[in-house]
Order: sequence, then structure tokens, then C-alpha cells
Amino acid sequence: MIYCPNCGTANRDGSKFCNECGTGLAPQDLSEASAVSSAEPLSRAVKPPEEAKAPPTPVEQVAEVPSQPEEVIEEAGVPPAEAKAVPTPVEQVAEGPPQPEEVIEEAGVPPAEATETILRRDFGEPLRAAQDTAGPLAGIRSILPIEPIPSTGSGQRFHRPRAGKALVPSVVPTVGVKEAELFEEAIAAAPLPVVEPAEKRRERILTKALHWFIYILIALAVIVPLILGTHWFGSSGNPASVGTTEFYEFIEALPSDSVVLVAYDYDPATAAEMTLQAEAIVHHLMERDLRIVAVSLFPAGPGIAQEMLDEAASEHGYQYGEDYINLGYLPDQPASLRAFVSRPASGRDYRQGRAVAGFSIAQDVHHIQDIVLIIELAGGQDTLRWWVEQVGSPYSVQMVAGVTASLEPNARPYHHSGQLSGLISGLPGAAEYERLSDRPGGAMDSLDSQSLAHLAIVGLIVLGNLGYMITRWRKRL
Amino acid sequence: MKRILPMAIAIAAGLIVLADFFIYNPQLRALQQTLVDWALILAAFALILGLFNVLTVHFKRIKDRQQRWRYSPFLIVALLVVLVFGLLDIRGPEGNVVRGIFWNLIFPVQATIASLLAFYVASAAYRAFRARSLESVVVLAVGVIVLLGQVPVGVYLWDRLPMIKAWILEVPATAGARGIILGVALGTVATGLRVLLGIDRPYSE
Repeated sequence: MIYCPNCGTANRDGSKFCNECGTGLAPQDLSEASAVSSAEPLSRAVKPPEEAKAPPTPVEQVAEVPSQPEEVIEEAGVPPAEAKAVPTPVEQVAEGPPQPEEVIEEAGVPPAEATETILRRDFGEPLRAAQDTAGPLAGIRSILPIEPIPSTGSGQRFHRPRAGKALVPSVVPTVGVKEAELFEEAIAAAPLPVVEPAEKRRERILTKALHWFIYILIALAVIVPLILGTHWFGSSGNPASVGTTEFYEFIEALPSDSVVLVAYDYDPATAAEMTLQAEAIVHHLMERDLRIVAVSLFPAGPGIAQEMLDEAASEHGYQYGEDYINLGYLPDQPASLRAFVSRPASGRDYRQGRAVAGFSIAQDVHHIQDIVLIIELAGGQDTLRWWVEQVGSPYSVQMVAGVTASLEPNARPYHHSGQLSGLISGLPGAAEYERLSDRPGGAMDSLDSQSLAHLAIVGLIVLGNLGYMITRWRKRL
Repeated sequence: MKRILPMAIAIAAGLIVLADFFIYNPQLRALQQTLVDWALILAAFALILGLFNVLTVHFKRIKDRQQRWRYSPFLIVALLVVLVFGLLDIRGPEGNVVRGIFWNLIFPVQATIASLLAFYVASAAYRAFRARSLESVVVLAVGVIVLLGQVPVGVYLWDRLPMIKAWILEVPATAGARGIILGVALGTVATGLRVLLGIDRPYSE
């Protein structure tokens, strides 16, 4: 074991740094070499290598788990009669690293060794063998006189004594006094004013101004079209994509009064895109007289679903529990989906906290296959995969999905393979859906903002590259 | 025994749930459902433990005056308010207080933080999209095409932009995404097999 000179934690042999505080530990061989007890004659320390290993100190003895208790007691010089009172090393180790004072007291170490042990524990190296001849410490080795130890810059740290611990006598070094005085002068002197080079200052101001320019540009690109309510690009924009058209047509083809499951798997972070998609889809479902069961794999999803469904229901004359219901949050996502497929109508609803089985809509939903379509509104990467893997494909339930634009590449493979019968992506997808269902809404109103923001970003990329090329050209000159 | 028993339980549970994917048998399905229900109950308890853990961590942070401890009282108060009102109100999360907190605090704050991404993306695009090499020119070109092709303004700039963007997303991007999905699937199979064979024992760590 190596004890940390800073915090006293016992570390494994060969450790370079303390596990507790990170202080550098002296290499073991050095510590072992220096661990020669001052109580031992000096000749013992210069024995041939195989014999030179110092007898372990009481601290080391106690910390070494494999040691037999008898050995420790014997080596520590405890009379056999008192041996039973000394706790076994295993017990001591189990209680954590013992404090030096405790170890010494319990092991019955002579005062000179005890002092040295404390010092070694605190300073990480033994003090030279010496014996004071006068004063209150007369006869005690290893304390006084002591040679001054100048700071060597070796990384050794002297720490503040712990609370309640006796202060260790300090020693004023005589070496390096000049350097110390110089250092003191340097830190006492008033700091010189830092003069920033003009070039650097200009660069800093320019960078800051550029950031502000970018932020203001993006803010204006987003806000101005929203305030003005423009439709510069949205009204005659791109034709609806294949995925959106398929999504729309799938819902159009469903027999009315069928039960559709809408999974609100998004939270406020992606709500700007997803809410507009969800609104367009929910209104379309209600126009088609389809019954809706809402669930969510996100904790925030049920709240969003409830608000949206209640609002759309009031417009379309839907009744809660009869035409639509919110089953709430499904925790522990993939496992809860496995449970959900076999008993979709179990548990309690989100809005009223009543048993779902008591609602009339639940009478027609006994198994996941009673649901004609699953609409996955995915704001996160995994939920779409879980629905496809755990529900859609194994139970042959038709699925369509609405995803954020950033998730579109992850969703497309499922659309290609036919596991998704339709796919809406991002704000443009929501706008396409609004256009297809002839119900202009927030998505179409937001398209100009998005268009301008994209244009601004492209403009910034071009600007950045121009600057980069000019810099390179100047450097070449 | 201390190692073998958990391993046997884990392997048996895994095999039963897995077998239900491939074999239809009413008894097997009932057993699988019971196991999944147990997993859900355990997850619910984990949630409760997580709640206590959050409280403990933040109380300790306040007690020890750790770094940024001043935020912890807000967290604890918000947590307790939502918890108490959510439990006391018969409407649960649809009660006035919890609903008010969600729509007036959680929703706007989360949406705002996510919206800030637009500014960072713009700033990053300005600094990072540089034509330094042939590869970076390709990335730059693809980025610009998708950015413009994604929104209606692309048609006004060049009527073929949406078509090119659609091709990029349909072919190279989907190929890459498919590769990732297959990789994840293979990784899942490998991990599942390791657990089923008792090579990995995450439950005993």
C-alpha cells in the first residue's frame, strides 16, 4: 500500500496518483527505500538489495491485508498479553484507512517511531534519523534537529492539517530564501496593465460583431415573415412529396369509424415542427370520422396530445371516451410497447384517470390488431424504430410516420421497405399536408420564415468561404 | 450459487420473451406478458428511486454549499410542487397547477432552448463550412443543395433543386442510414446473445 501524502488514502502498490485526491505518489521502490525506519541502524538501510527492504512501518503492516495478525503484532512489538486487544489488520482495513495516531496507539509503537510515522504520513517521506539531546523532545528521534527541506519543485505538496489534528512543527528553509524574496516582491508589485495588441483587439471586436450580425440576421429572417404574415414562397411551393401524398391517401382510404392510434412521441423541444404536423393530421382524421387513441412514449407527450385533441374535438364535435381517448405515457418504452400490444385498453386514461375499459371506445379495441393504423409522430430517434420493431412489423399493423426534418434520413429506410406506408418530414411536410387536406394552417404560414432562414444560412456559408479565400490569397501574396 | 441463480433467471426470462416473437403459444404468451409486466413494475420503482436520488443529490449540494448550489432549491421546490399537486389533484397531470406549470414553464423553456439551436447552427455553418479540400467542397455542395431544396424558395432559385435534394436524401443518405440501422440491429443481436449465453451479466454488476 502507498499512502497519499496529501489526504492519507491508502492506494495500491505501484499507484502513481492518489485515487482520492489525484496527488502524485512517489514510486514504490523509492518510498520503500526511504521507508527505512529511523529507529533502525543506518547499516541496515545499505544492505544488499535482497535484504535492503525496510521492515514495514506499523501503518504499512496494518494496511497490508494478507498479513497475519500475529505477524503484525509481533513486528510492532506488542506484548503477547495485549495482542488480543489489537484489532486484526483485516478488521482495520475494513474500517477504512486508519489514522496514524490510532494505528500507533493500538499497535503500541514507541514514541519516536510514532512521531516519524505521523510525519511520514503527512509529508510522504521519512525524516532523517536524528536524536534531540535537549528540550522537551530530548531523546526522541526523528524530530529535532531537522534539516531544512527546500522546495524542489518535484510536485510534492504540503497540505493544510486536518481539523482537530496537531500542527506539525514547521521548518524555515535557509536555501532558496533569495528566490522566495524575489517571488514575494513579484507578487506584491502592482500588476502591469495588459496591453492587447491592436491587431488582436481588432480581431476580437470583428468576431464579436460578426456573431451579432449572424444572430440578428437569423432573428430577422424568422421574425419578419411571421409578423408580416407573408406567403412569398409557401403558396406555390414544391409539389407534395411522395411520402406525404401516400400518408394523406392512406387516411383517405380508411373506412370511417375505424380506430387509429396516434403516438405523440415528441416533446416541446421539437414541438415547433411536430405540432404543426400533428394538427394537420388530427384534423384530417376527425374530418374523416375516424376514432383516435392517443399514447406517448415521452413524458411530455400526453399533455401536448390532450390539448390538441380537445381543441380539434370541440371543432369537429368529438366526444372524449367515445370518439377519442388519451392513454397517456407509456414508461420504459420498448417493454411497455410489448405490454401495450396485447392489452391496449388496460390501465387508466390520462385526462380523467379512469379505467380505460369503462370508455365506449375501448369496447372495440381489445388487441393492437383492432387498430387499423398507427401514426407515429416521432421527435426522437428511437421511438420510430421501437414502434416498427415491437408493434408494426410483428403484428402486421399498418404504420405511417411524421418525423422532424433531421430524422428523415433515419425514417426513409422504413418507408422504402414498406414498413411505413407514408412519411411526412419536417415543416415542409406539414405544409404539404395542409395543402393536400385543403386546410391552410401554421405550417404554411411558417414556410417563408424557414425559407428565409435557410437562405440566410447559405448566404453566411458563401460569405465565410469568400473571407477564407481572400485570407488565403493574401497569405500567398 | 450467488452468480448462477441470477444468470439462470435472466437467461430464462430472455429466452421466454424471445421465443414469444417466433412461436405462438397461449401459455408462453401469458408467461411473457407476466415477465414484461414485472419489468414495467421494476422500471416504475427505478423511477421512484431516481426521484429520491435527485432529491438526495441536491439536498447534499445545498448542505455542502457545492458549486452552483443556488439552483438546487429551485429544482427541489419545483419537483415537490409538481409531485404534491399532481398527487393531491384528482385529475393528476391534468390538474390546474401541474397543467399551468407544464404550459407556462416547461413547454416555453424547452422550446426556447431548442430554438437557440438556429443561431448556433447559423454561426457554426459560417465557420465550419469551408472549401478547404475536395471532400469539404462535396460536403459544402450537398449541404447547400439540401438546405435550399428543403424549402419552397429552392424552386425559385433553380427548379431542379428539389429533385436533386430528393435524390440525395433517397439514395446516399438513405444508404448511410440503412447501414447504421443494420449495424444497430447486429449489435443488438450480439448483445442479446452475449446476455443469453451468460457471457455478459449486466444484472450482476
